[in-house]
Amino acid sequence: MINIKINGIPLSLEKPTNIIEAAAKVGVHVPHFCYHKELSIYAGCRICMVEVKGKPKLLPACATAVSDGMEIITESEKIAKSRRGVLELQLTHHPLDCPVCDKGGECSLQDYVFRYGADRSRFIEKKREIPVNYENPLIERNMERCVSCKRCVRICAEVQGDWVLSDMNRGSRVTMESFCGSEEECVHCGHCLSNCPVGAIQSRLTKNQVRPWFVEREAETVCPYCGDGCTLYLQSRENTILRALSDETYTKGSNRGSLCVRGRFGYDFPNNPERLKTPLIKKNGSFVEASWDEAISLVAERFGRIKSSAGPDAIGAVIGGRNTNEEAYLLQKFMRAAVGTNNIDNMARMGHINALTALEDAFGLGGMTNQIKDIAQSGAVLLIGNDAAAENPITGLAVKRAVFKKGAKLIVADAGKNSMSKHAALRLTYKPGTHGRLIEAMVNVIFDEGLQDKAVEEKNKVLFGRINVAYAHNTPEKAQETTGVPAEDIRKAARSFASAPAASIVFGKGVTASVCGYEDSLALADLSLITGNVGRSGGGVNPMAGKAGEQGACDMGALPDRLPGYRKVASDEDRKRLGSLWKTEIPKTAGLTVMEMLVAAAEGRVQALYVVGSDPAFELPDRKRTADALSKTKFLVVQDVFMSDTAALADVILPAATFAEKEGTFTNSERRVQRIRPAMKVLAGARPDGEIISLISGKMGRPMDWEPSLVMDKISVSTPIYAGITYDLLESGGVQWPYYEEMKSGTAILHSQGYDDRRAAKGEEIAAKVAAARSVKDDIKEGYPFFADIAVSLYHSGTTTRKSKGPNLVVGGPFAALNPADAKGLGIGEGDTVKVRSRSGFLRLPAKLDAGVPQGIVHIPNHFLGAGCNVLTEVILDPVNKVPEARYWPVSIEPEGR
Amino acid sequence: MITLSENTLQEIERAASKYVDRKSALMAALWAAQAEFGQLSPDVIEAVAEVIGVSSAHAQGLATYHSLYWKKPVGKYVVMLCTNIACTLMGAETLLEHLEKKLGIHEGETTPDGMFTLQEVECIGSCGNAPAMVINETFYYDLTAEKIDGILSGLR
Ligand code: SF4
Ligand code: SF4
Ligand code: SF4
Ligand code: FES
Ligand code: FES
Repeated sequence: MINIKINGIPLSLEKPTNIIEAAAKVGVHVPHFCYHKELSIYAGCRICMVEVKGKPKLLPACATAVSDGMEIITESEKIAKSRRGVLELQLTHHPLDCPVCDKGGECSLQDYVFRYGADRSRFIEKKREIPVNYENPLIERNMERCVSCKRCVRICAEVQGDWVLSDMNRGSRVTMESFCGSEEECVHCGHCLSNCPVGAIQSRLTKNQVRPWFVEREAETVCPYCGDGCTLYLQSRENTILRALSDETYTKGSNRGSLCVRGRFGYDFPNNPERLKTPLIKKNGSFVEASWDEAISLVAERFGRIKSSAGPDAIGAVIGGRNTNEEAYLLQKFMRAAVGTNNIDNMARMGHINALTALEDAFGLGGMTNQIKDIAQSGAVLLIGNDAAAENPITGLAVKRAVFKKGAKLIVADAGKNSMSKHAALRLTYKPGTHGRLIEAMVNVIFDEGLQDKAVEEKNKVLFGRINVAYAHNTPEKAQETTGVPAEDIRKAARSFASAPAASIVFGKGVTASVCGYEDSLALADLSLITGNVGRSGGGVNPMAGKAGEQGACDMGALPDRLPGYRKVASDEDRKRLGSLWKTEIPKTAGLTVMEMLVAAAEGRVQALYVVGSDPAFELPDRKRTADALSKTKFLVVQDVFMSDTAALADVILPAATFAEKEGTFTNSERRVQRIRPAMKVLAGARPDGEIISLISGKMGRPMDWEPSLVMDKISVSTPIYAGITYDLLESGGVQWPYYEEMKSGTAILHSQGYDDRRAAKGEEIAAKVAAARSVKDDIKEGYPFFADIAVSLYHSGTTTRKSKGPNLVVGGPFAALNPADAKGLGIGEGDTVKVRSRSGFLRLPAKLDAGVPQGIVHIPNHFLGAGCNVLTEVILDPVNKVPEARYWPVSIEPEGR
Repeated sequence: MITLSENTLQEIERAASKYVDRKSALMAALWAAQAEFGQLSPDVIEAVAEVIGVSSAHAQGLATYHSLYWKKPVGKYVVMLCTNIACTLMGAETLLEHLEKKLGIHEGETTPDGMFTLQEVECIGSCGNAPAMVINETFYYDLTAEKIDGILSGLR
């Protein structure tokens, strides 16, 4: 116990800390510029000097650890004089342009000058003139205002892990800059911006528009984009979002103070004037504005008619990754209870579902086993089929942290470009679709060299034996032939992975969105299992959900064969249990997946589709076939916030509310259930999705409460993994399911008490079907020597970011990135137009040369209107979960010159 | 990007082998590259950063901090005159004027024939023999205008 006194206030501390933190505990603020609790101590600004009894000189509070018996004074005439002196030195150069500085009102320099009254400097030197750096489209750097605290430099290096900035020159000429002032390396995360104590680094999006006292409303909410599910704050005025801020306490949620460019700068789409503002009904081929009453009545009436004429199974519904848990729950309940069908699916069908079912079969629960921040504890990380720095950047930060802080060996395995490669100890580039062989060969090496976890093996002899046999055929030499990865590299990877005290696996659509996605996710589970990494901190099997609502939609049973909480439609007991809660009978036959619904629609078996928050015509493979099926649907209802390719084909469009206008919860990749809160009123004319679903349901004779907190109460009763979860519990930071009421805690790491292997031996039947599906794709390769890597860009997420200003300023349009060697071979230069052609269609795109793209690959971000990659793809389904192969597709590239 | 010569790379590796973390050899690596190229232009800095394994910005930060790393081309001889307190008290400012007149350039500039670069520096630790200067790696003490003239003509 350390007992100290701060300004006479006694304080007992368990753990040693510095004086700034100790003082904060008793509500005393010690002025500081260069100190930040997430960063290394620099002790360079000297504004934090305090008196410590018995010490002749003032001591820096940031760099002085408290010790037992210390008596600290943080304000006195002597201290004030010292601080005045420091401020005077700062003001020698600082331009004091507060009237035109957006930091005014929340600037440390302004506050301290106000407090200590050093409003001018006795130093009469010519103020330095440094032009503002506008190289960065989102961030401006005004070094005249810099107080040289180096927080920007340190956060870019230590938290973001990118070292973009450095202090250039010295003394009074020092500036914080990127290499030669070019912002090329910057990933626009905005860490430096949020961490600058003064107005030297500012957002260009809000330039001269936001002052802290303008803010009328602030909501703690969750980023709507990727599956990392970052806590962020939205500030608004007069129903307009002013800006998004990160958590200043650096403690909340999965991201703990960090954000990526999408979250920090992609916040303005709710105010985009293109928002849908009124229900639209298609009459004679064109949309006519309608009242809500009219639209809802029409939908209910047509659904009712189709239900009675063709049966409930002639209606299907799909929900995307942007909707809340409550909305997904309501939609599946509406389909099952009001319509009477299990034809409900969600867009996790595009990949993530393969990981969830594989993990459920391997260990008993369908969710990421560990926690995002826990990945930072790993001694080795296998990052496979996921560009963490672009797709799920906060998980990317945890991986980098493991590398920088723990010296973890990072193995980046990918067929395409992967921006984490520069941090990798080993980069394995496999041929698209062969990742399974690579994983199997790693397992093979581990058994071959006796590297498996012996203690775990002792307890699971049968299982280990079975896994060993299953992979015995795939030696590294054999894998080298199929994957193209040198056998020796596979051995090295297996050894690093197996010998680390804890090794984690992070994977994404590169693995899951393929015909063998389920099988290969199981192989990853096996790899983790035999190395004893299941249930271990710093270990685990961690699949990344693509969108904020993907994990939750699955949890909520927006799946044709699963009820809420992954209970099975096929189980009489599960159906009965839920049926008695809902006071209805749950239909017995499993429904159709989204891909199957489209086939059924084309064949006339499905006559009505209800599409919520997604754009199948853009997102699903084979654009033409998908569009045909959607147009053949007798009655297509689309509920969304913007016009989309799918909405254009609809019979009725229902304008919905965005995440910024409603209550609800999202569940992120790490099973963390978190609340979103409105920062503005629902846009006039639009309605929250939950309300719309309940209006239709009510009209069809099955009223449902849609008020989100009440829906959550129902979820916690009907969804076992959400038992005990209430809005009160989720007040701040969220909870990771399963929640244990007795212990008042969620579960950070699954299976630490053991796991439940539910699968039979690797099914030969499945393997044969996968092989068949694969050979279909191999046929397509003939004459198409490249693979299109249908990718996610750091600057975009699905299609909503199209409607946000910030991300588009950095990457505003589609492109095809090629390895310079390939480009040279084809005579393609930067900016040339290329035709990327597959068997079924082509895209014309500007070329980019990028040495990070492996040869034989053309990297295409799939977000842009008119450049959807589904013109290239066809439908080939994985036999287990009917996930379409949608990540790599055989194409040819033809130069078309400038 | 520029490529460093085999010699320089060896020099860098020799320096790196002395440290637990090779990043610690950044200063020595910059020094070796400066010996090869005569200056640390951005592409030289970039090449060094790549070899050592730090970001280019980090390497540039270090290069711009130290006055002995030349960020632009310098003459064969770099005349570094101390104008810190002791030397100034002993007349360094007049010597600076003298040097400027003698070489026909301003502080920070290089003579057109590429022989001399004139630089003002802070204390070089020779206050006991102020005023003092360094030319390349040689120190000169107790300077007067005449002494300087002699030194310069000795170098021409
Ligand atoms: S925005 Fe992020 S990457 Fe760019 S300089 Fe700032 S901290 Fe570094
Ligand atoms: S730019 Fe801001 S954060 Fe960076 S050193 Fe200057 S004052 Fe500190
Ligand atoms: S896009 Fe993902 S990583 Fe970026 S801020 Fe949003 S949730 Fe976080
Ligand atoms: S905060 Fe202590 S020296 Fe800067
Ligand atoms: S002041 Fe010139 S050598 Fe010290």
